[in-house]
Amino acid sequence: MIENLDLGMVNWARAQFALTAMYHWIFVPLTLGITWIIAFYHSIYVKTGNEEWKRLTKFWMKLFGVNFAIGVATGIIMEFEFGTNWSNYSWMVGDIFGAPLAIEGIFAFFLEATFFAVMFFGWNRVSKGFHLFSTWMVAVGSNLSAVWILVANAWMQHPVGQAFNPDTARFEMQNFAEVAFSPYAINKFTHATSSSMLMAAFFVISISSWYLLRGRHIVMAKRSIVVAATLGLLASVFTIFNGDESAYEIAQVQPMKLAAFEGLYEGQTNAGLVAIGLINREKKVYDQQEPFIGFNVHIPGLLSLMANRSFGSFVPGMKDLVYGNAEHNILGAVQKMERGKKAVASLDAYKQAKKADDKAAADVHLASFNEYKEFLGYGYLNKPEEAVPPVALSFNAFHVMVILGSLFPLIFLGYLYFSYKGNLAEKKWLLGLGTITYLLGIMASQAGWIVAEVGRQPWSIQDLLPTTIARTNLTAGTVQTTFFMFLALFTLLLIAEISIMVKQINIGPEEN
Amino acid sequence: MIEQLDYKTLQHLWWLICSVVGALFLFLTFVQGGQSLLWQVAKTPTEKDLIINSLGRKWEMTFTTLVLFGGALFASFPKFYSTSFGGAYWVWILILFTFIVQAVSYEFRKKPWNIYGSLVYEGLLFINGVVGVLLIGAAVGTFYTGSNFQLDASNFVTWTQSPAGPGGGAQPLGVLHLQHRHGPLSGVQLPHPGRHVSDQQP
Repeated sequence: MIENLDLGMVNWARAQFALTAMYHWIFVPLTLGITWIIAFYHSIYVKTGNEEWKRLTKFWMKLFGVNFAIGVATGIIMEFEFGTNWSNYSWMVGDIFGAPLAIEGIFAFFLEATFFAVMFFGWNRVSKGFHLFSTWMVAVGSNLSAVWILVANAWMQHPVGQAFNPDTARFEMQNFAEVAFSPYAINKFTHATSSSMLMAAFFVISISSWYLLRGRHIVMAKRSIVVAATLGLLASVFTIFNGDESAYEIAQVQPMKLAAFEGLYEGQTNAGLVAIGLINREKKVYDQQEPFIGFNVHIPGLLSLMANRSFGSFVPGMKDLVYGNAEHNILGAVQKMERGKKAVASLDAYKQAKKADDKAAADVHLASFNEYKEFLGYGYLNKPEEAVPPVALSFNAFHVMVILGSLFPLIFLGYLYFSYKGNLAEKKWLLGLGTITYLLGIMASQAGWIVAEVGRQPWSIQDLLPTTIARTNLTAGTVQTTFFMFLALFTLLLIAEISIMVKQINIGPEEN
Repeated sequence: MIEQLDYKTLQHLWWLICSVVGALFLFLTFVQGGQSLLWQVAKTPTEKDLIINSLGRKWEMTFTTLVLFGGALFASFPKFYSTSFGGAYWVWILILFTFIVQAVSYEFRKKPWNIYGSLVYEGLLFINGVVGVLLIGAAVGTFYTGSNFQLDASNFVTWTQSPAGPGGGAQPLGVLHLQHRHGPLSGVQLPHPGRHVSDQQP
C-alpha cells in the first residue's frame, strides 16, 4: 500500500489545506484582536458616557461585522477537511484531535453566536451593563474558540498525553490535562492571540492614519490610535517574548524545524542567528554546497541562546539530525529509521500472530514493538533525507516574521510618543508608514503559519505519522479540482470583502 | 462515574448526543427553508428585507450546530468521520461550498460596493437553501443505503465504486442516485467498536 502512494495527491492536499488555512488566517486574527479593542472602546464609552466614544465604538464594530462572517465561513472547511482529505489521520487521532474540536463547537461558538447579536443590535435595547458584558463575551468567545484548535495543533507538533494502541492502530488519549496544558499549546495560544491583537491594532492604526492624512474624522482617529497603539505595544512586546518561548520549545522537541528555519546544516556550539543572508535553494543536506549565497551576517551565540538558554551550547544542524552525531549523542534519521522499520515489522508480526491466535508470539512481537514505538513514523520514510522540511521556505518565512516582529514595537512607540506630544497629525512620514502597517502585520502572521506548519514537514504528527500516510485515498485530479474551486471562491469573496471594507471606511462613522 | 462506563455504553451515549445535535440541526434548517422560498414569499423588496433580516438572526445557530455535529462525530466516531468524509468527498465538499457562501451572503447582500449585487447574494442563499439541504440529505441517506468499501490492515479505505467520481460534482442528483446504490456508510458498524471491518469484499 505504501508503494502505491500517489505523491501528487498528498502535495495537492497539502496545497489545499495551506490555501484554506491561510485564507482563513487573513480574517481570523482581525476578529480575535479587534474584539478586545472594541471592548475597550465600549468600556470607555460606558464609563464616560461621551457620545463620541459611542460613535467610535459603533464604527469599528461595523468593520468588524464585515470581517466576521468571512472568517466563520472560511473556518468551517478546516474542520471538515480533516475528514475529506486526511481521513487516515482523522481515524488515527480522532480521540485526541476530535475532542478539542468538539469542545470548541460546544462552548466558544455558541458563546460567540449568542452574544454577537446582542453586541450589534443591543444599542438602546438592552441595559448598558449587559450590552457591555456581551461585547466582552464576544471577545472572550472568539479567543476561546482559538484555544482549542491551537491545543490540537500543538499536539501535532508535540504529541503528549497519548498512547498508540497496536490493536486498533490508533493514538488514544491517556491524559487530557497533559494535552490541554502542554507548554507547547500554551505558547501557541499566547503567540497566536497576542499577534492577532497587534494585527488588529495595526488595522485600527492603518485606517485612522489614512483619516488623519486626509484630514477627516480627526478626533475619532486620534482617540482610536491612542487605545490601539497602547494595546498594540503591549501585544507586540508580549509576542516577541512568547515567540522566543516557542523557539525554545521547538529546539527541545522539533530540533529539525529549528535547524531548517535557520538554514543550519552543520551543528555548532555558540551557534549564530542569521541577521542577513540569502539562502541557497539548491543545497541538499548531503552535498557540499555553501548554505548561503554571497554575503551573510550571523550574530554569534544568539541561536544557541535562543535554543538552549545558553550561549556556549550545541545546536544540532540538519546533517547531525539526518546522519547522527555520536559526539553529541544525537540520533539521526538514519538510526531512527532502522528502529522505526523494526517497529513497523513488529507491529505487522504482532497482528499476524494475533490473527493466528498465537498468544506467545504476539506477546514477543508486542514487546519488541513497544521498545521501538517512539520511532514508528520513521519506519514509513523511504530515505533519511526525507526528514528535512523545505529549508528555503522555512528560512525565508521565519526571517520575514522575525524582522517584521522586531520592527512592530517601534512603530507603536512612535505613535504613542507623537500622540503624547500632540503633533501626530503633522508627522506625515509616520502616518504614511502607518497606512501599510496592517499589510505588514498580515505578512508577518502568514509567515508565522508557514514557519509552524511547513517546518513540521514531513510529519503530520511529529515523529509518529508522516503526512504521506495521513491522507485520504483520492486521486490527485480530484483534490486539484477542489483546490482551484476553493481558490476561485475565496478570491471572489476576498475581493468583495475588500471592496465593502473600503467603502465603509470611505463612509466613515455615522454622525450622531 | 464516567470511568465506570464501558466503551460500548459510552459509544451509545455519544450516539445519542450526535443524534440530538443532528436533530437540532435539522430543526434549525428552517433558515434554509426561508432562503429557498424567498423568491416566492417576498413580493416586494421590503418584504424580502424583512424575511432576510429575520432569518439573518438565526443563521449562526444553524451553522454552529453543523460545526458541532462535525466535531462530535470526529471525536466519538472517527472511523465514520474519516470513511464518510473521505469517501463521499464531493458530497461533503459541495455541502461546505454551499455553507461558505451562505455565511457571507447575509453580511454582504445589502452592503454598498459589494461587487456582485444583491441578486447574486440572494441566489447564493437560494443555493444554500436548496442544494445544501439536499446534499445533507444525501449524506444522511447513506446511513440507510450503505456502500462498498475495503479497509486494509493500515486502515486505508478504498472505495470500490466511489461517489467521489467525476460525475458527482456536477450533478447533485446524480450523487443522490449513486449513493442510493453505493452509499458510503454500511460497512461502518458504529455501535460495535470491538469488531474489525477489514476484509469486506464488494
